[in-house]
Amino acid sequence: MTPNQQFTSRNRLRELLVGKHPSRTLRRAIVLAVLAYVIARYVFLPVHVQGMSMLPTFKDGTIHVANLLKYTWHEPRRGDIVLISLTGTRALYLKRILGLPGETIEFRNGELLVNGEPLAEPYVKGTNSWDMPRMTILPREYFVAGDNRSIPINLHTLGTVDRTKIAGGILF
Amino acid sequence: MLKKTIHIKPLDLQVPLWILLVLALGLSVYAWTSRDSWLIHHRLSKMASLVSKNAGENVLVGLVRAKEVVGFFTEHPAISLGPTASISDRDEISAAIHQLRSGVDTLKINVRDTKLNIAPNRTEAVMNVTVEGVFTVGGETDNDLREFQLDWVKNSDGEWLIQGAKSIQTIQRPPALGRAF
Repeated sequence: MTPNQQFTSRNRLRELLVGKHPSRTLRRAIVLAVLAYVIARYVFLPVHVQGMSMLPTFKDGTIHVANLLKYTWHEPRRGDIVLISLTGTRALYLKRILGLPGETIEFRNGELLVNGEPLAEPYVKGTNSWDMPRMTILPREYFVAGDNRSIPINLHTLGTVDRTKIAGGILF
Repeated sequence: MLKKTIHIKPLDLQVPLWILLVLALGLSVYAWTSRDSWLIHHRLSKMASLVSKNAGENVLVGLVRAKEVVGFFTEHPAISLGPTASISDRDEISAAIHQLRSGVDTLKINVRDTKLNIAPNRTEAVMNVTVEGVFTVGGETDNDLREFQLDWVKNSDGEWLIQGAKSIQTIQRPPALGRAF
């Protein structure tokens, strides 16, 4: 390869990497990086599921994407899978909404009753013997639990959560 | 013969110098104001590593570590771990830590999120912290997520100590079910 050819190929490589206008490419790269960070931090948050409380819907170790803006324009609905924030968004609870504000909720031998009426839960697999006396959900609160009812109720994290703690929902 | 001379205008040097000075001043102010925050976070991560437990840890080492954790608390802290469980004595803290660590084969405490508010007098601070405990019992690994509020106070030696701690129930368990195990 002649020195001239070497120079041309080096130029082509440089052009491929940083474009014809490196400063413009740098500006674009910075804007893209900032945009990617903001979207991944405040809009579509990648989440890594740990634990078995949402089995069989969400398996331990799987990765999903959360939508942190899901409840910006409407309130959570029954059956929604929601992310519940603790101090921040680096560790969150993943639960399903079973009861809405003002409703009564109870478990009778594994069956969920909302306002005294049995509610079908197609996402729950197998039988269980969860029992919980009837309780009324306060305004601005939601009743949440995991889908894995094979875990005894005394070992399961379930209960009411304030609306402000619902950070978003699962996108996929 | 043409003699080349290089002229450096005083202003050319002054501008970058001023920028550097302002940057240095800004950094100093930032370092000074965030010093307490750094100290508290450092103590928290030290405490987390002391509470953590490796496989096959010697009993004596465990006792020493539990005793060391006590040094992060004031003489009579107010610790509330639920509606019925509370601790207000350093020996009780040591015993509780020892009991917690003895019940598991391995334990890794990860500090996941923190939110710190330092009082304007810079001697008191309130911190919300989410910790994750990954533990192994009988070969099975599990994890637990908890949120706490820690009240920090700075002693006369400039050392930050925990004077109060309480567990925050993000998901309020129905009272009829009692405490989760």
